[in-house]
Amino acid sequence: MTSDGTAVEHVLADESGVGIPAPPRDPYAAGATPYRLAGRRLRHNYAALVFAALFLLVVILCLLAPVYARYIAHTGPNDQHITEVLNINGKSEDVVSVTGVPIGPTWHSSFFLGADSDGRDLAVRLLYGGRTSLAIGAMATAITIGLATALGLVAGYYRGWADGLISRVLDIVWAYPALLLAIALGVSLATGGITIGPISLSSGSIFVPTLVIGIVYVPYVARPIRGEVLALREREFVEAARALGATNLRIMVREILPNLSSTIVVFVALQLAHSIILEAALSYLGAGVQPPAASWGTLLAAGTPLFTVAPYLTLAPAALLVAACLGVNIFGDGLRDALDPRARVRAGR
Amino acid sequence: MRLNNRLPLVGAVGVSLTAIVAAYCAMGAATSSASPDYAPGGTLQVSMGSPPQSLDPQLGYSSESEEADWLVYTPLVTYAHKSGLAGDSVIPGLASALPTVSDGGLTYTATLRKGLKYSNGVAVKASDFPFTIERALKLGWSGDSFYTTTIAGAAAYQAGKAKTISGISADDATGEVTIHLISPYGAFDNVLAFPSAGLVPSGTAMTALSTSPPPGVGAYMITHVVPNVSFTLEKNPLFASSHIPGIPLGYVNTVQVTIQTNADTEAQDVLNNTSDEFDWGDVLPPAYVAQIDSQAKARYAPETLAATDFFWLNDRRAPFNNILAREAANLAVSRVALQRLASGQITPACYYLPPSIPGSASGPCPLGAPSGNGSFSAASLGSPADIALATNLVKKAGLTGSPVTVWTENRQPFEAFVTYLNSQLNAIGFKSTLKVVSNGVYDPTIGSAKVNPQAGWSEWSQDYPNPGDFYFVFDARSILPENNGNLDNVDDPHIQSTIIRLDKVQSSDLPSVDPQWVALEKYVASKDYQVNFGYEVSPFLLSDRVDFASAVFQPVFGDDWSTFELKAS
Repeated sequence: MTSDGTAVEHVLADESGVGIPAPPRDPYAAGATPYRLAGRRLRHNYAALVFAALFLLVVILCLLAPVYARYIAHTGPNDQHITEVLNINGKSEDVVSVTGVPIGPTWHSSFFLGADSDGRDLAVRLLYGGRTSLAIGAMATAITIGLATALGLVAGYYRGWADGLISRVLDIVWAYPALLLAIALGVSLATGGITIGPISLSSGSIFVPTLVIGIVYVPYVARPIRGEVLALREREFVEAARALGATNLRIMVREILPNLSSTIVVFVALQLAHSIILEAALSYLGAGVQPPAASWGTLLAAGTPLFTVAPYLTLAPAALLVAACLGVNIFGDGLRDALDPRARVRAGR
Repeated sequence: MRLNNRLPLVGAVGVSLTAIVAAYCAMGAATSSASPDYAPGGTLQVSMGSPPQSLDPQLGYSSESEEADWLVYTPLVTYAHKSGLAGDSVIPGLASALPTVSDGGLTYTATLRKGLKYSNGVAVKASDFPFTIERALKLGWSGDSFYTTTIAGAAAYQAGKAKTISGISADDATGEVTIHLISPYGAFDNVLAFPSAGLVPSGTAMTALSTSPPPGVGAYMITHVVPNVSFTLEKNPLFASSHIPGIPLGYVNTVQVTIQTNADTEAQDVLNNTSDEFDWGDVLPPAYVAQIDSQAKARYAPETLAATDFFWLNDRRAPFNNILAREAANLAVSRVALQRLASGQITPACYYLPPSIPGSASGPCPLGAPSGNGSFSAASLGSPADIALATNLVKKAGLTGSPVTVWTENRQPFEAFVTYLNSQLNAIGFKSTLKVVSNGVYDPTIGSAKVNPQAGWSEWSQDYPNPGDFYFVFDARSILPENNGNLDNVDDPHIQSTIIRLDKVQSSDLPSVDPQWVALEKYVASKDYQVNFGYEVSPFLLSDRVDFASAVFQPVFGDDWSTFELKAS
């Protein structure tokens, strides 16, 4: 869209900014804005809607963690009940046995899904861990999208030395596999934290993995955005704005950025899944969320050594992780189909 | 100078024949099978959880290094190859008898056995002993303070102020070695029994020989080392001629050691008989405890080690500079809970000295200063954490909400221990946070005065079975700006004077001062300087191939491979 609300024709651009002929006109297009059209398409994509509901369900369950902990399980996520004995259907059972094996699912309010090896309620930690994982995923996605959009805009709009500098920096980051780079950063920051000017993050802060995940994915989003900006900057509406005396900043923010919005929305959905998975991987390897805080990754790590005697410790967080990521990923795919930036979208006015 | 050629020749033949007969007898005695199902020979497959620090005896200080080196490098004295308390006895090694102590405990004199040879055939000389100690100091053996704080002139040699260690003299002609101490040290026999004092030939390179360790005098020799992957011990064919009573010649021909850092794989391999030994230094994964109980009970024995797990509390920093805070921490911890976190592999405790160490105390711990502000309470081992009383103590001290950071390394069960401590400290009113650091940097981090940590987990595993060794952690002389050995930062005049007095008592006389060590234990407990919570239990788990009945778990060095005999094929 241009700043006056007129939608413009989308032209797919490759890395060099050369335009590629767009697909045929969308049959839904007549008399609707691009987002209304996307909404119509999305409403017919039942798989995307079901998985969006699944993701929302996981989010709501995790948001209700304090309610569950307080009124149902009656224990906090870090409360340990190692030597306590439960009466399950008239039978006494240790929360953690003398040999260190925790109790399995009781299907009662206390220890519904069982306990971990430290005598904590797994269901409570699972929900609190989900809050952490989802929060990190969301914040990291915001960092990635924010940084990538800014860098992609500047590089693609100004080209020249600014593009060269930004692109080479992104290349350097891209040269490292995301997981390895995140582990390296995560391990070093998880030990000593980080202080940059007035900002200080302690080693146990969840903002450490958030920052790490947010940064390592920037090139993966910034480069396609840069490519799209390279194409958009040559469009007539940009020429017109320039001819009317608009400043570069105004052109980028008011003319180009709105035309990137559908791409960004798709990236947000897909990137959220990536960030949640990377958080789990980092925490599993000890480079993400630090104990005693829970996340799906730390729960998986804690459950792995006991897999043969207490498989639920691994399966429960794995199931929620899969549900959340599959949900947001398939919804993201549906959103991409609906907002397909390759489609010719014309306002038809 | 040429005197009478014939006489030495006759003598040499005589000595050689005697040696051959003795060697044959010794070999026959040591390698005859304990059970008809088992036979000497074969290759013992050993899994080791962590690689040895170094197999060079003058560098290796870790338990993994010493486990291998003590079979390869015999010192003047060594430990009996026996299980249980009998294994704590120091016996003559390359010396013909235990050293004689004179000059009020300041001089130790020992004489080498005759006819000793290194595995490369070179004869052992008395002067190899001072060379060996000098090499350990030159290479920077991690336990070098055992030498520099006891042997006269050792510190000067290490500092480069002397070319030799003035306190050691050796006479190659008589084989006599004389050692002068700075001050009497009753456990010096134990210092001489370190594998790092295991003799190596004079002239051995003064550089780390971790991949091609020097020759030694022992049942085995190290033949092939792949750093961090594997190493091989093979029988030393010349050792039989040494005929050292009490030191077995070894049953298996080869010990093949493979580093296996995954404890699950390690346990599974032993249960499947593809490996013969689970590393006693590793913690048995809880998943395998039940399996062992049903499948391998006859080849498994939990061995309580002379090693204490404890939470240290920095006595020089708030809130633990207040005895009430320390007492509260002691009361807030359930030893039984910590035992479960260790999969049952610790024995609950509140006293510091393990039961196998002279001077250990028993019964409920007297918590709270006997003459100070503390309340008087007793921690019985089976009792649950007393959160109410601990919370009251914290309130009474005006420390509610005081920030505390508790430190641990990222290995289980230690991380679980400190996670529990963190939870309990929060439960009694402190504002506690957990700090987990990688196990590679944990010790230097918590030992740094710059970090000045408040509390955390640590353990003390015996260097030798003497209470003085354990009290290193309460010795004010151990307080250092880096690699601090006294993490509690305790500088208590009563403890200090008692340590100095009792350290002079010879190991053989320890029973006479046992009540004094017990009194010191009770005094330390009453001051709540740290939270002792358990003595480590080690898994002695062998494969079906090994004769479990005759295999020795040596209390100082762990699995004694020289006593392992394999099933006859």
